Amino acid sequence: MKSKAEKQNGLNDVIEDSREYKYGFVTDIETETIPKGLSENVVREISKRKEEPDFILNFRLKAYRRFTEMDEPKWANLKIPPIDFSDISYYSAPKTKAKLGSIDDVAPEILETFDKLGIPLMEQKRLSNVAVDAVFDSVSVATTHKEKLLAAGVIFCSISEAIRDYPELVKKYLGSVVPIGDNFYSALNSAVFSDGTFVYVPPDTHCPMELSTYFRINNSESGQFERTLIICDKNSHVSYLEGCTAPQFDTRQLHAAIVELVALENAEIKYSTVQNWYPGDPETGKGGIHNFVVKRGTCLGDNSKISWTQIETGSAITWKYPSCILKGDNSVGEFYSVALTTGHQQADTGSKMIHIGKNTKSLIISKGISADVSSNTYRGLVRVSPTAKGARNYTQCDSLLLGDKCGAHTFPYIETATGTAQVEHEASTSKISDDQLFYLQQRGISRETAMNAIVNGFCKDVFNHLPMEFSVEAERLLMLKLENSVG
Amino acid sequence: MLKIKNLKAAINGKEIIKGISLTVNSGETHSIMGPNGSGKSTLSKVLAGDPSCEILGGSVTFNGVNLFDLEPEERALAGLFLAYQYPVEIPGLSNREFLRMAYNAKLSNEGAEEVDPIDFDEILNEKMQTLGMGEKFRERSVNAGFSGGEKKKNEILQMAILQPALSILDEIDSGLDIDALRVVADGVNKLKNDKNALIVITHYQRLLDYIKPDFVHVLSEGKIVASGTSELAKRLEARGYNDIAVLV
Amino acid sequence: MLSNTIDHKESSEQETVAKTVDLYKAALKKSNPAPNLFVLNEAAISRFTELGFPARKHEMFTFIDTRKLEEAEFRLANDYDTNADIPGDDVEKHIVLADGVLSPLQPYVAGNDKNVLVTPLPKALANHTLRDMLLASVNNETDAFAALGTAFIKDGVVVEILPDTKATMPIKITLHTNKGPVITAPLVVVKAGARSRLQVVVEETGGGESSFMNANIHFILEDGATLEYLLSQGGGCDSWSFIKHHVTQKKESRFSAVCAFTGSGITRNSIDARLIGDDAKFSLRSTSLLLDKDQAHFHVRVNHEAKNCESYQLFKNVVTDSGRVSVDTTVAVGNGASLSKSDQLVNNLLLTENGRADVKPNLTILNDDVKCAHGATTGKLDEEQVAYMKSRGIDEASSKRALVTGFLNVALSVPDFKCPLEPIKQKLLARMEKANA
Repeated sequence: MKSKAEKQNGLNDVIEDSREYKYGFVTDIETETIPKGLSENVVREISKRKEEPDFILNFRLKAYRRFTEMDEPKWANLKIPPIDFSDISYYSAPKTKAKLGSIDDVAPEILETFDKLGIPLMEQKRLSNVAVDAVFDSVSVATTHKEKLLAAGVIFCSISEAIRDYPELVKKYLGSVVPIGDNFYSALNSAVFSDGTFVYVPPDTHCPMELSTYFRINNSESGQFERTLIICDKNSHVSYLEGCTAPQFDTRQLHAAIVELVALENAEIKYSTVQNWYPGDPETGKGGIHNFVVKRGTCLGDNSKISWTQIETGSAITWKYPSCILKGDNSVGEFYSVALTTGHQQADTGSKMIHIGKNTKSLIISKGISADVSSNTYRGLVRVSPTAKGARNYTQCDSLLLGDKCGAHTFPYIETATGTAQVEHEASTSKISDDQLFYLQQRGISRETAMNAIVNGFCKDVFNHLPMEFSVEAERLLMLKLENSVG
Repeated sequence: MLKIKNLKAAINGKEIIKGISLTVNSGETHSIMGPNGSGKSTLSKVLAGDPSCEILGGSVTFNGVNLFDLEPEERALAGLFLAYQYPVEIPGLSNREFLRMAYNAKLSNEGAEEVDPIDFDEILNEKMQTLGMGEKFRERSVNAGFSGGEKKKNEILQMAILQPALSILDEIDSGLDIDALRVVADGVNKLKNDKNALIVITHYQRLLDYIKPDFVHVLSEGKIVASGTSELAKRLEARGYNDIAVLV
Repeated sequence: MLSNTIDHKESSEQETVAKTVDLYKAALKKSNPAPNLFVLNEAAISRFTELGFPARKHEMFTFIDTRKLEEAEFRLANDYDTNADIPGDDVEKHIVLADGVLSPLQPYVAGNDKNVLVTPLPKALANHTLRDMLLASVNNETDAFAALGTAFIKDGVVVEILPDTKATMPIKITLHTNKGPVITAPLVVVKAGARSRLQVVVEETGGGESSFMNANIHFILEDGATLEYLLSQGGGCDSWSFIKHHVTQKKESRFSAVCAFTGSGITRNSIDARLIGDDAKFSLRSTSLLLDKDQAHFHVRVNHEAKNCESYQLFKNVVTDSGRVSVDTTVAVGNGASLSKSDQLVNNLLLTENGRADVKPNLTILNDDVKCAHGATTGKLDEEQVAYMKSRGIDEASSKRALVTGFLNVALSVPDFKCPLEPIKQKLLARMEKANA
């Protein structure tokens, strides 16, 4: 154990650091980047460089054609500066030719980058109970603990490797949850996706450790389009965590990822996100990531369960709705979310629960916190189809306002098409309670500390659903972000 | 310790305290009695620094310091403690974490080293045992889902941990059955010594059978209309508040 | 191809607009409106053309299938028929707008309060303040059907209560529609003077065979005014009934509304309330019992634009058979509207498998000093409650009927409400019998 003084210093360091976005550094590394712009040739080029089989090339081309027919969606409660899709590079990879999946060949600069981010990849430094897939710009650079996982039958690798090594699984499930033409960004991602994570947990297997992917955008002009596919077979269980950071640039960067989850009979997938992309300059709103992500899971088998937990603190603009399609009878979908917006950040986030199977259950707990001049929107859909006899949903979405220049919005859509369902929705919006603040102050606790304690309490239900290792981290991240804004 | 001189205060623009003077010394227990709406709770809020109160006049010093110069948390750190009539619920913040924050704020104010969770648990366990409080008080959110009696016990637990110089108990007996009242009063009595002081605000004489006051003051329409010993409380009980005029 | 379908849709909506404009021109010829009314009609049709016919994807009409309306061929209603058989008690004491035309006012005006002025619309429009207010309202209209309604206005009524007075009895207004396929567009303006107290009861009668009533009702509450409003909506089978309410509330005014779906057909009740003066209070209680293929759609927007305002909304809907209900309600708190309080509560009982309930309780908040909450539930009758009643010897059908009645009546128990709620309860009971049969 560290001494008290040491602990104190450690915390002070972090607090000092937090005055600015801590992960804003750029790694100087030679990359191989396809010239800006998007065309059928660019799509072919990406596929060629990645030495992909025909079925993936065809998947991409089909998606590209759909993309050209579609328009950017405009319905979100967001002010999005126009994106010039021809001014983005759709492929960027570190030049050092690393053999797929071999850590020894990863450029030292990159290893150092992840070290600095607190994600050591080298054997001797790794976290012992967490396996990490590190994605740098468009490419998965390293995956730890692969062998140990394989011994348990769990496949954990980059999606590029999966395409090469497990084409049958990829062919069967890629695009099965988020179809190519689902929306504008899913078409775009399907055409140009660069890399991402693939997980397959075989039947009757409890994945022996936490799996995680750490995304890092480094290049200022490339978009990031990863693709994650997680399949949890019968009677299996997996817990997965995703973390993200990016350097500080004045220009906006686009991140349009797709995550697809498939849970078969009796399977359970727990997917957690701690998102801390660069949010842009807190004073001017310049720069930052546009985070437009499609995350969706299908509870395909009976009695399956998918649980999303997200802590959203970063990005200039966040636009995502981790969703569950509850097809299997008795399947369960959960969504726990904390979304904090400060500075000029905008977030439009929430969940969709589509009940199709009998006796399906879903739960949505959403906590939005807005400060400064930010805008925070909860948008959620609960749809009970006529087939979903006995379906149940409970939704609770609360918003906390810190400051009179910010906005908090709640747009739930609740559609019930069968008389045997039970759907409940509760929501509240308020500022931080004066009574609570005063009570804590009366016990000698400073206003700032009291404020943090109350906000933390407000988010507790969600933090409790993060894997232990990350829940403390998430709490601290939230507090640091708040410290910068609530002054 | 506490000197109130001709205090006048308003809440929501309405004058409630209309000139109160009161001196409390170390080792003393004062009881303030009065009918509903007489200004008992407002007085306690003014002393604690509730932002909804507006000071219209007069002065209050606490150990020689002007109380109105201090923020609510500074008053608490100076040793002024208010046990709430209606303790506030804070969902998501565990009682243990809350108590440790308050305890460490006090330590750090005194220049002492803060305690870590493990050390604090020992302190907390001991106090909880003395007050006969169950395990659940530790992990549950502050006052959330507590019964009336549990909330009041929790206030006394905080008092035990913070060891304040002056404690103001605002209707600590309201909503308590006789057994709970005895437990709470015992807790308060155990904490009492000749270095600290108590102000016990109550509607009923009943509480004063358990917490014996040195002085009793009767508050009516924002003013102290009578002061005396515990005899006064007995007379009040016998005749009721309607008959205050007789007492004066 | 996707693009083709979009083109097709657009052209069909354009066709509908063109068709409507033709009908509008025919209406003008027939009614030959007074110049002040003509200005209003013209502004409204041009606003409607701008807004276009709302497509199904239109956010305001997500839950209503407007295609059938689009397909229907409406004709214009004839002028008011003094022999029309208008149902209801003491109908001679009502203000009657039949097919959008005001009946002779003698009985009412002769009767009662000297402090309540009832003026036919064309005459009232000579007051340019009123005309300009209506023009401003239609020019800022975002609801295509409300604009369309204003375009087809050929008559209406303005009810005004003088400042500092109290009405001795509720003002009753009957909106009657003959059997379709006619399109009618009544207009009602209610002005409550400063510190006055007034009760207004609006009842819809008639309808059926694809009749389409598309009404606009304006409420203007001056400082400290109290207005109680009771609406009983729903025409006959296969009728369409759209009512758009425009509520403007000044300082310390109280607007308290009870809306009941008591007829049948497809109804849309839209309420736009602006709380523009400090300390204004808005409350809305709504209750619906849907049978057969009935549809009740609610679209409410309450704008808190001043300090310390409160709004309250409660919806109690019971859906049987293939009924459909939707509640799309938004509370918007503006930047200056500190100390706002709002509550939105929607409870739906779905008693059959084919029923459907859609809810969108929205909040959009731009001020931190607020307390806003909403809740929505959709479900079946509580089995435990039924079991409890049966354990007291009450048979299942009676138990259920009592529970449903109780559920609906929650929205009808309004403290100190001066409009007569008993007839509404009776109507709901009668419909309940029908549901049982």
